[in-house]
Amino acid sequence: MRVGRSEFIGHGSMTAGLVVGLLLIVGAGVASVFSLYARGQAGAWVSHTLLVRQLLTAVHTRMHEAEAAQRGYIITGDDDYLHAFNEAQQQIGPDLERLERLTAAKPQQQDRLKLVRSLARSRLERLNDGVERHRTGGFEAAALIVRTGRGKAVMERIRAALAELDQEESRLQAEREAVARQRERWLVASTVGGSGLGVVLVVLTSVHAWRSRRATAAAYEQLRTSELQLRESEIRYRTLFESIDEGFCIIQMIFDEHDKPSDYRFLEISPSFERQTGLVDARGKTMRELAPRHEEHWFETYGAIALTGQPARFQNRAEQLGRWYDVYAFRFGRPEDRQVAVLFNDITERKRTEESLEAANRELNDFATVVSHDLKSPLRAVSTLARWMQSDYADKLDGEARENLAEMVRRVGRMDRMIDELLAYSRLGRVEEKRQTVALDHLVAEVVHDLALSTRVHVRIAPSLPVVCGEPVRLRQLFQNLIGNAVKHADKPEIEVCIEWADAGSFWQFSVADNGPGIDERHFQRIFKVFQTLAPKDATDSTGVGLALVKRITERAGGRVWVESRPGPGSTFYFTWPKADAAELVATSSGLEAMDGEQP
Amino acid sequence: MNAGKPVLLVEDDELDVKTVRRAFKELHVTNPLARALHGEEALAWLRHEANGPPALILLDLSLPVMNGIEFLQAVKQDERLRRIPVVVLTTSRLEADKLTSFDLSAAGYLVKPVDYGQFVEVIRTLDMYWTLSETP
Repeated sequence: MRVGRSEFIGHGSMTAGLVVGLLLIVGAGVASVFSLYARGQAGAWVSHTLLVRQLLTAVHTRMHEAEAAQRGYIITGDDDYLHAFNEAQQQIGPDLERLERLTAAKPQQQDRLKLVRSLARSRLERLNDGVERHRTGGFEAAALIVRTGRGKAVMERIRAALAELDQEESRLQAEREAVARQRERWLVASTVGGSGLGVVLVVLTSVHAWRSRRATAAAYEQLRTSELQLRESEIRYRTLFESIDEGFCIIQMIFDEHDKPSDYRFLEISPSFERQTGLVDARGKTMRELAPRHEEHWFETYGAIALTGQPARFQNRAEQLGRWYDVYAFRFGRPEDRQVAVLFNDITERKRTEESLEAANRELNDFATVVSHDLKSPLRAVSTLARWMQSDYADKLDGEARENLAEMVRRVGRMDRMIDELLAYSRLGRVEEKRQTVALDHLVAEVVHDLALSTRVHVRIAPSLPVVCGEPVRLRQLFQNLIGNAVKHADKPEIEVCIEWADAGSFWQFSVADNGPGIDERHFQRIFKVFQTLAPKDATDSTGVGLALVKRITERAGGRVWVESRPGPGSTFYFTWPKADAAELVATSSGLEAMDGEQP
Repeated sequence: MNAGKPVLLVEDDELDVKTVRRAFKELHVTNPLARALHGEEALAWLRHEANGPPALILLDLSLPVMNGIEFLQAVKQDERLRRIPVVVLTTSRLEADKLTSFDLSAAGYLVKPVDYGQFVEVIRTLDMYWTLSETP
């Protein structure tokens, strides 16, 4: 993993950095200690020089003190002076000895010191001599010696020698101080450098540690997150796999030497597999082991998928399993693996339902056949026999009997029509017709013609009726019933029927107006219901199916039907029909010729 | 129609046979009327050499043993019978029946009117048409 690698690299560089840093600190420490030691040494030498110079000054001072005290004694004869003289004289010897020791390494200085010693000794001897004379000879004797002035010259030599010594020591002091200052700078440099380095190292190490810790934490977090995600998605897929209601399996196709699929082995099966197939412990087994009579087409289909990688969806029956399946299968893994994933669903129940539905539909159609054939035969028999009686026994029947027989024929005819219309309304026995482009100009003219209306009826059809899309038979029924109704219910000697159309947005709106008796508004709903008529049954031919059929046809097409009317001036029936879009018009334009007669 | 050749009426209902006979008589249709009870009987009659080809077959659809549709199928599959015009004469107005009949090359489809008077008119038209029409 990328993160782990960079982390590893970080560790290596950090270790190296630490080692180098530690070495630098140790080096700086050593340098500091050395500098400190050197500075100490240099300081000691400076102190040494200072001590020497101090002693030189002391010797000089003591000589003057001795001289001054001796003079005081000689002049005053006071013993205090003598005491001070002796004290100064006694100090000088040890001081000179210390100086000799201290400058032992410097021969030049030693020589100068020797000179000072001898001069000092000589001077002190003279001074002592003066004191002795004073004691024996009194002031005058001593003063003689002082007056000689020789003492002054000796003192001048001593001063000069001491000045030389001090000059040399001063030079040494400056030299040693310079060394000390240099050592000091070393010390400062090594200490500051070392601690600075240490601080920098600590900071760098801390920053690095912090960074790497942060990186590690982030990496860990990322790892944890991705692990979690992985686990989550694994759980999710596992759950999906475990709880999927569809059967799922991965199969290994087995081919014979001619690459013909001969069998397949179940590599992986979902828990739902057993419920979906009824096959127990299928994992690891082959289909032929589990169901030897399994149809060949299953093997062929899966084999083709494994070879071509072309997924397939199909429904098929598995005879030995006694089930129908809806299957989606696709190649799984690499092509050379020849594995197929199969997602399937037991649709036996659905198939059964479909079959029973088909059976029910068949029975319904059989019922329709029975109604239209067998129920109508006796009707026709009654009617025919009544007619024969009318003609065969014309001379034997009185007027009322003939009238009754005629009525009988009329009622039977009505029942015959009711049966036909009821069948039409119920859609039993009808054949679903393809939607076609229908030129209504043509169709309406045909309908009017086929109705064979009497000369009392004047039908006016608006020009340029639109072209619509629909089943020609339904459209015919629509106009047939509306025009037929207008004529059927007419109560005027001259019957006017007016067919018009209008553009109503996405619909065409058609109207069939008549000059009939009109309808009271409270009946507007009733008239569209099946078997509902407003006229008494014996007074009209109406069966009460026509408008119900009109309503059903328009509503199935997506349109609607309504009536505007009031008793007196007549009624106008409106209906709407959806406009066909251009694509539909083109697609269905082959059926422009209108249907005719009883032909389908 | 067609020079006195027989008309084969495939009809199980006795009254309907009687109605056709009566209509023929009224209309002075001279063709003899052969009658078969159902499809199988009709096929047997047709395949009987002595009978010769009929001028027309009038076929009811609702029949016992072998119904009208099955009979039409059998006739249209038979090389020697397929050109005999078969006119369906039934009570059914069901679209399915009309469609299947014409799919099986029926020469016509007539719905038996309930009223006898109209029935006679139907037969008159039928006779006129098949008198006029050329047949092979």
